[in-house]
Amino acid sequence: MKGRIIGSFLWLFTALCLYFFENNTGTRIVLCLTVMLFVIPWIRRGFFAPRETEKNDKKTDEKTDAEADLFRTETYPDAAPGEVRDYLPGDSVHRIHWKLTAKRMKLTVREDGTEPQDEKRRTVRREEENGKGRRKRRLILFLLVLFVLLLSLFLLSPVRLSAGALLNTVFEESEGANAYVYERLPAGESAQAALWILSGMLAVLTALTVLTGSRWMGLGMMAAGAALQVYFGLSLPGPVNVGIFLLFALWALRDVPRRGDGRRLFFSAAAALTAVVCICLFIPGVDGATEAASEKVRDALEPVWTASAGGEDENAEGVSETRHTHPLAQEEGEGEAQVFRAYRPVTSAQMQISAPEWIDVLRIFLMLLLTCAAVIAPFLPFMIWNVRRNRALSARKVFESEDTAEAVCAIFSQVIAWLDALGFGEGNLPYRDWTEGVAGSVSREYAVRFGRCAGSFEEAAYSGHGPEEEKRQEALALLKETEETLLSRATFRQKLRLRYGLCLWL
Amino acid sequence: MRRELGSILDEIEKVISGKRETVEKILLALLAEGHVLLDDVPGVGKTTLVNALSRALGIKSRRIQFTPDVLPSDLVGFTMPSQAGGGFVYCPGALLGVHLVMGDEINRASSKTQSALLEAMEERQVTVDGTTHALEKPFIVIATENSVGAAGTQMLPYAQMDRFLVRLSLGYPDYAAQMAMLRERQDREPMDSVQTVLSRERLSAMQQEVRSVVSSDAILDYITRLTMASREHAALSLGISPRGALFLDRMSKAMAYARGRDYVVGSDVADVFTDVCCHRVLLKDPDGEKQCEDVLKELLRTVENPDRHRFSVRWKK
Repeated sequence: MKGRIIGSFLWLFTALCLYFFENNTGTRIVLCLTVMLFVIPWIRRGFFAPRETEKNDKKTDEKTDAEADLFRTETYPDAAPGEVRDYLPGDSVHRIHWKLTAKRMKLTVREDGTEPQDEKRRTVRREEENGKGRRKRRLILFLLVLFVLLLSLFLLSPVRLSAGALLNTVFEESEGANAYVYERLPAGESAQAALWILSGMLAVLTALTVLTGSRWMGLGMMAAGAALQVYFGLSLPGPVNVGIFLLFALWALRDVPRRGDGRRLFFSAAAALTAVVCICLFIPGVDGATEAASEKVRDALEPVWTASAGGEDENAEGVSETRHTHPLAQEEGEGEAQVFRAYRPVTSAQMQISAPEWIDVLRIFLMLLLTCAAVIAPFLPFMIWNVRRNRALSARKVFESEDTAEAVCAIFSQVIAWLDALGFGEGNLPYRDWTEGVAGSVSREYAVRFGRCAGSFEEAAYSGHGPEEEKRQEALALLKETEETLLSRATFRQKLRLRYGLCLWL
Repeated sequence: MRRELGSILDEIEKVISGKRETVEKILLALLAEGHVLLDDVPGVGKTTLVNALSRALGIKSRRIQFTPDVLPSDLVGFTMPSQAGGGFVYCPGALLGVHLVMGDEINRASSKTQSALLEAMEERQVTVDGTTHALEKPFIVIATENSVGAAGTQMLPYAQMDRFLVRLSLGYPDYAAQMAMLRERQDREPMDSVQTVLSRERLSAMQQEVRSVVSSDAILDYITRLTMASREHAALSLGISPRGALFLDRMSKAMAYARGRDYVVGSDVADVFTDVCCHRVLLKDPDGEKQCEDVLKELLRTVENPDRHRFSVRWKK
């Protein structure tokens, strides 16, 4: 599935690059076909593999049979092949069960083996579910092909011109709301065709995202929506933005990952945070700070104006001006006073980007939080280390516990922690099996004592009765020997880690 | 290993040499009151092993050669009209009156006959025409499945294989073992030298002792994590069932008992995991590179050992 998604986006990216950077139609078509030769086999491997699909179907059927068999014998362990009933006129004589007849003293017939009705229904339901999986895969394939077809329509000149008209309309809106100036594209009369195709592509992408359940696609669409709004300096109405990004945040947080699945948890948290940030940014519309940042990026990518327009000659005709508000213009108040800028002329009305006052309150609050964090930050590592050190010290009190089992387990766990810290641990092996590795890493005598203590640990951990007191003393002696031996072998960096990282060397 | 078990193994080694580890596992399966499935090629000594085992343990055994025409009534018995007149009399089948049954080439029998045997194995009783007849105690079945020449056979479905505690394979002996076997059989029959070292009552008592071996919460958690991991493994379409988890626990107890302990540790579970669970799982790609032993070994490597896991979760005794 990943390959199909990547293949589709690769195709989309290549098509967009060709559209914007290559003017010759013939070259465009040739390049598209060349890319298709690479992309389509990639997609094909995921979809058009009938033998593999058939094999999977066959395996699904085999699995269905095995599962059905398992189900049948689990649910009906003593089931007779068929039901038993009285003989009815018309039944075949061969079906009379003579033993049961002799026992019941009346003619008895055993039915032919038939599948119990419940199991039939379950088997049909299982087959239906397998069928649903196949239908879903076919639907995804159909949508992907549709997406590629819609995209390829942009190779046609009338569609490209319509897209140009649409973009020109967007440019006009953006110029009206911001301080940007755009170079107009070759356009046709109506932007409707491009609008319909783009809407269709968006609908197909959304459907694909929902069907495949791909978090990456959802995050990508959300990021693209945010980036486009910032780039053009235009935003959708606040409630619409809230709705869209909230949906994406919920989408990212669905199926909250299980404990220990750090990667998915991080992804979901990052996606939800991004969505919340987008909501904060776009409720009031595109903000001045974000617009200024995007303006710098765009200037770096698209040097629309020549270098000589950088303000060397302010009075030269056609030279644009800086964006900063001239104090004189501010004193004169709002209205049509001209503001001087380095690159583009702009009126003070255009400078009034909608930014309500509560955004400033939010900014002040965030700044306060950041300041507090900056003040505490240098002391934070020491605070954390102190807490952990105290915790380690209190944990060592268990060594003197009345419960010898708990004490031996705690002492031995310290020994293991020391061995792991210096790389002498043996991974996921039972501790009893570490003796050979430890003998090679430390010494044979140490390994013998380690083996004895591993046996005591097993008795303490699993037997339900505590080991004797002398085994606790033996474990304590092993711990002391471990600390002394390994500390003498540790490097400076390892010692730092033992003291400040793991809090073993107290 | 406990002295009693060691002496049994020594007796069996008089007739089957070079297979001590496999025989030990069969013995453990008997102690765990489970049944054994031997999947092997012909002529490696399966019947000889069963005969030696029954002699050494002092129990009655019977060999049933399954053919396609063996009926369920041949196994469980049937009722027939009494010749004395009036009423019916029960004629016991092959499963009755013995402690150790060897079912040879079980895959040659029809599905109905297999089901009758497996039902008797599970219930340890047979019901014929509404009357229940208990089987002997202890009752163990060692079934063999001949995968060579499997044409015309009814291979055991996975659901039925799940009822066997372990699936083992004797395999061919190595050079030294085969030479020893040939030398020993020049002028005598080694089976005659096998002595009875254990009584039936003592065997039952040992089975009781195995049942009383302690599996702490940490071990049960380990078994559960292993079985859950098998159900989520990418290479397996069918993981280990709850019955498999129960059998794994029983077999681990037998292993701990054999090692002289009255409590189970993680290595006991790990040592029997492959034998108990290999026949309970289904591979998604049976013809691929990974076989079920590889997958199960991978599970043992990835699932955290209870020794380590014990300290990430505080256990109550």
